[in-house]
Amino acid sequence: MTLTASPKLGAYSALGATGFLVALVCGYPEAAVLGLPFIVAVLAGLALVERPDLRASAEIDRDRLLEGDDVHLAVTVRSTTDVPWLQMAWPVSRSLAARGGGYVLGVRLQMETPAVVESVFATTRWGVVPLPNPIVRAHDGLGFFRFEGSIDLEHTLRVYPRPETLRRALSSAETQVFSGNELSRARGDGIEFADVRPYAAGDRPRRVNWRLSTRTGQLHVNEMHPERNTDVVIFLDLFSDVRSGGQGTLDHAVRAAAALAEHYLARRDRVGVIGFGGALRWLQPDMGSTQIYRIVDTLIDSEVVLTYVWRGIEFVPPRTLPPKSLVIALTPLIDGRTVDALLDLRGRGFDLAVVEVMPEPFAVPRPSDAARLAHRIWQLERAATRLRYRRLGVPIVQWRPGEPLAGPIAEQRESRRRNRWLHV
Amino acid sequence: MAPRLITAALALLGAAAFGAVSTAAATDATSVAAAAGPSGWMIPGLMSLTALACLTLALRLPNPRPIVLSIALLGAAWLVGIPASGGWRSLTALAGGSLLGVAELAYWSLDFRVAGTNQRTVYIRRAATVAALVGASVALALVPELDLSQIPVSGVELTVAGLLAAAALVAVAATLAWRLRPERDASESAARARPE
Repeated sequence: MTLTASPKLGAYSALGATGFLVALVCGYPEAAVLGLPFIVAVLAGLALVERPDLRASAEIDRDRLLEGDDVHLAVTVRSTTDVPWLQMAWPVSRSLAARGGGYVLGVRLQMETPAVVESVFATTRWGVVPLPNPIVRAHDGLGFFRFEGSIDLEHTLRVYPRPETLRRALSSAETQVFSGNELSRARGDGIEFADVRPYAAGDRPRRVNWRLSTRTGQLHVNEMHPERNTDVVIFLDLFSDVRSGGQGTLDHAVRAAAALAEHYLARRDRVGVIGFGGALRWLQPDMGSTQIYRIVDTLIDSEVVLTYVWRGIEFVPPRTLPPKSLVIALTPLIDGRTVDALLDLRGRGFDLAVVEVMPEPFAVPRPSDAARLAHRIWQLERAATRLRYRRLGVPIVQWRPGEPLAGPIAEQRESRRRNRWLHV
Repeated sequence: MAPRLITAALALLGAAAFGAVSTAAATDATSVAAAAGPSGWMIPGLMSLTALACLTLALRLPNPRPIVLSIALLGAAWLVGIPASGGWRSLTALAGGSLLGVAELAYWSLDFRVAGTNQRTVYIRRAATVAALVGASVALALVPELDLSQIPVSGVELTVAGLLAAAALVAVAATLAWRLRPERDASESAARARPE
């Protein structure tokens, strides 16, 4: 541990020395008498101080939790020497906040007697969060010296985004072969009535529409829409993250992605994830309860990796994008690579829906004419990008972070219904 | 009332009492301040008021730097205020202890501005340490005071003795500080507390 002298040591030494100096120079012994207690204090401090040998261990009540949950941390510290006053401070973390503002805690440590310092942290953001290594400062008995160091806790928390509940999401234009909750446009075995047609050999008698057959004098059978599952790929833009005040577009995009994944998996759909950015991440579509954990584990590792390398959709493994899958893109529409990749996907015939995570709340222009003009030009460029998508029949809705996701999703659903005739 | 506020209030009260005593003592015609004229008693008074202001500033900011100035001013007020005759000079040892007490209370108030567990034990231990320190200092300061009151206060012998004493003090302090030197193989990892 690093030893530092407190300002008190210098102050006492200066006071004592001044007293002696005045006594010697002015021939005034009372000055020496006044300075002597300070010298005695300094000497006592030097004689009594011991370098502490701290050992610490930490326990947390759980290492997997949701955003906003509390984690209880108990740090057990012991020392081979007496530490009259041990301060433990927690470095400010982006994802954790100490409950009750207790960033600094003080405790007295007796020799070989463990002291437990308990702290409660609230998780403020999803992600893989290493517990901050506390900084410890041990004071000597007289407050002249400080021994400072840090404790390696070596604990990592996995904070999952708290998903929003969605009652309805987007329907895919095409369905897959497995049974699910999505009404297929094809005809087969199902519940939902589709059409009637003349009876053909091999048709099951229970499907005969007796009312129509009696009226026409010829056997007719009912045709049904089967309920099938869909493939949904959540496309997360990891090229850009507009941040301000501890929050950013990526935070909200990941929360929305978790909500969408949970919703579709509950409907027996196959869900995959593509993190399109400097570091490409992907998860092949799959169904089942374990897939949600895989997806969330993939999502919380998401981060923006700065790169100037031009990446297109050809970098994405083909099996991650199954044919006839619905691609839901969550993007702030800032990076040209994402914009082009999404247009490429649309050109390849994928059913694409874009949810624009609005960066405007995090990008407030400075109070100057030039900044306001730049902000306005930026907004016009973004509007032009939106227009490009709409001209290609890609429904795009804007989602202001902090507002419920259900609103933009409903708008997207309506927009897709209107644009259905444009679908390839 | 928070303990740090109590210690701050005690430090301020102690400083105010010390200044009042110095100012009252300066009304004696044999004091150094009296040489400045009939209003000479105001010199330690003004010094004490400035010291009080410095102490208040240090505790309010909080910043330990003005404390040393405050204590120095109080000490100077005492030196210019005490009469040359009477029993005042023998009280200087007590004054030194009081100054140490005021300084300790002020630093204590600044040190304990953080939350903590087991604070009662910490406070009791610190109070006992401060009391022991002040007591020991006063007892030690009384010895030279008694001696110095009996001997001439100037002369080459006394100056030499003082210089030797100062050199001895520095040597003792250096010896004590030597054992706090960092280990030779200290590295970055050594600055970290070891996990169990």
